[in-house]
Amino acid sequence: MTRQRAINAIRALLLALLVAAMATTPGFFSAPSIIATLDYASLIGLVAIGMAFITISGNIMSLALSATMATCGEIFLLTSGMGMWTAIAIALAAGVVITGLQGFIIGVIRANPIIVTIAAFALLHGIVSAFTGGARAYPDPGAEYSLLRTRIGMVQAPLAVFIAGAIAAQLVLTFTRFGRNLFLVGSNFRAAEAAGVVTWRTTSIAYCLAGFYTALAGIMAAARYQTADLELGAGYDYEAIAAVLIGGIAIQGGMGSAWRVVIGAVIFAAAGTLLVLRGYSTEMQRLLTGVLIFCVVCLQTGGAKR
Amino acid sequence: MNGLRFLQLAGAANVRPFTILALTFAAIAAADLGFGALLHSATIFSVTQLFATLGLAALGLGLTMIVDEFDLSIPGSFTAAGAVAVLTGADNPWLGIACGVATGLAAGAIQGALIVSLGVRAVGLTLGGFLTLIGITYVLTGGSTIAYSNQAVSGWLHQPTLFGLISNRGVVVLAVFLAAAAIMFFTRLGRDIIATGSNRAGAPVAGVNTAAIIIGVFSAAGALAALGGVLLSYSLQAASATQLSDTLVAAASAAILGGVSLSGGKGRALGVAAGVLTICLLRSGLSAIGAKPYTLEIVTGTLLLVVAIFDAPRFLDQMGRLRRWLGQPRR
Repeated sequence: MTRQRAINAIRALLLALLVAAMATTPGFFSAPSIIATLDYASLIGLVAIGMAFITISGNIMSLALSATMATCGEIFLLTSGMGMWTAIAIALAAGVVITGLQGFIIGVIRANPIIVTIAAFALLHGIVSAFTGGARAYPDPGAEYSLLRTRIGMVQAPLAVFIAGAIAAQLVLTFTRFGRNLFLVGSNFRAAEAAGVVTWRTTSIAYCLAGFYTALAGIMAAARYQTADLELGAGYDYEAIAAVLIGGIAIQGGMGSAWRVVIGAVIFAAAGTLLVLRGYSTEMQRLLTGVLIFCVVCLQTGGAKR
Repeated sequence: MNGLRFLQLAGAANVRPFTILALTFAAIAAADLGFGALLHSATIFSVTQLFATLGLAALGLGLTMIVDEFDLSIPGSFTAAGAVAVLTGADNPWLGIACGVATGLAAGAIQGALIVSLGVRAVGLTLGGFLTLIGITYVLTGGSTIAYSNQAVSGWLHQPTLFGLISNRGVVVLAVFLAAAAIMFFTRLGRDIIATGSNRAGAPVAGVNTAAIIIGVFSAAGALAALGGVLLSYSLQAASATQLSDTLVAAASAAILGGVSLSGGKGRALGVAAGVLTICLLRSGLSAIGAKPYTLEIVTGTLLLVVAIFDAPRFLDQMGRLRRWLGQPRR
């Protein structure tokens, strides 16, 4: 277990470095910076909670959540004339159906999750472009959804949704039969089957929840920018899995929690803010983010050798 | 009965990629309603040009899938190598090729070594590798498109040969495919790669050094993707970080259509070549007969999904269950 100890030491060192960087970067603890960080963390975090259900279920990650987020954002705006709550319900249902179908295919015949979600990504892009003709989606002129854009003190609407969503996800994971089954299916699929768990149902529900949380992120982002296209969610697949891994959820599945996702999302967003405040170019930010994720994957997976 | 025998032959694993290729060709020709756009030499040239662009990335990805892994960093090596070659190969194109391929080789070797030493699956690790390589490309290119000024090289690569059906770049890619097929088929190395993919725990018993095979396969995959990227950048006289962002979808589809099994241990280089040609035929063919751009994404996505379903470990089980439920006798 010396390796585990070494990895823990490196983790602690990285965290200390991060805190030191926060303390020495002027303006990091100013209100605008904190609001921006938490706001960024909320959108990534919502997708990351969804991603975590997939990761915990033993299906590694989805590459279609970015496209799902964009699709649901567009659906929300295009249906916004029907009233805010109706539009929210339609967009959430779309997210659940789109992602749930993938989970069904993966669960029933054990299809490869990476390939299925890559296919879903291509299909979503094609179908949405076919419907919109590639045009951006805008809200209905009379639409009223200012509730989604309110801010009380430091708390913006996405942050409130994120916190509520994280609490709900943790409750589901801890106290429901689905939650118990999810950990079992993710850690040992055969044992779960032998124990009588209906594995395809557990997998399908995990993906439905992933779609639900991703749709929430899409709705909040679309309400924020008041417009959406297929690029709305670009990069969120990677950022969400990064938040999941930074939080310490094992990529091979079977363990994890919602609060780990919250921590991972906040750390990831804080690192992003630091890079901006320190004046790195966009290109350098991309490189450092990539290196960060690479290191996190190496550190994260090292301890949990099967 | 003869018809059935023919169907069995066409559906056999080794022949299936070529059957799919022929069916795709027939389907697009039918959709073309005999206008002949598909058989125009310009269309065929564009198919082989696309083949040259995607082929090596698909071959690299396919190799990692044969050893039962999945290398998400393939598009990263592809893109980064193009930028490296453009920056280093202005005066001496061979130097650019060497530096570009070395970039992919190093990226693959580092990731392969980490996969072996940390004992992890490649998907998560190569995701990090992909983002790092794309980040490197952004820094190298300053976020914009950088130009390659050596006109002689791009002219030669782009020059049509073999009755104007394929460019010199296409011939180079084809030659690499043939070499890979020969290595996979005739050498012990090829057998060892298949053995590693079929049963990684059991292969060492048969004397296979699986760690070396994994590292070697990831290095080769990175180098192949890199060579494809270098040739493309030379040919386009440009490199950028956003070049061909959909490489992964196309390469994965091509490898799977080419008969590479997602559960590892199965796959042939020439099958992958047929898979790549199928994807290229779809792309060029659909645009040649005037289909909307989104048609291609829908067709590719559907194909990928269908193959993923047919390739799934429990597909036959569930079909058998369905058949019993329908009351038909099982074979």
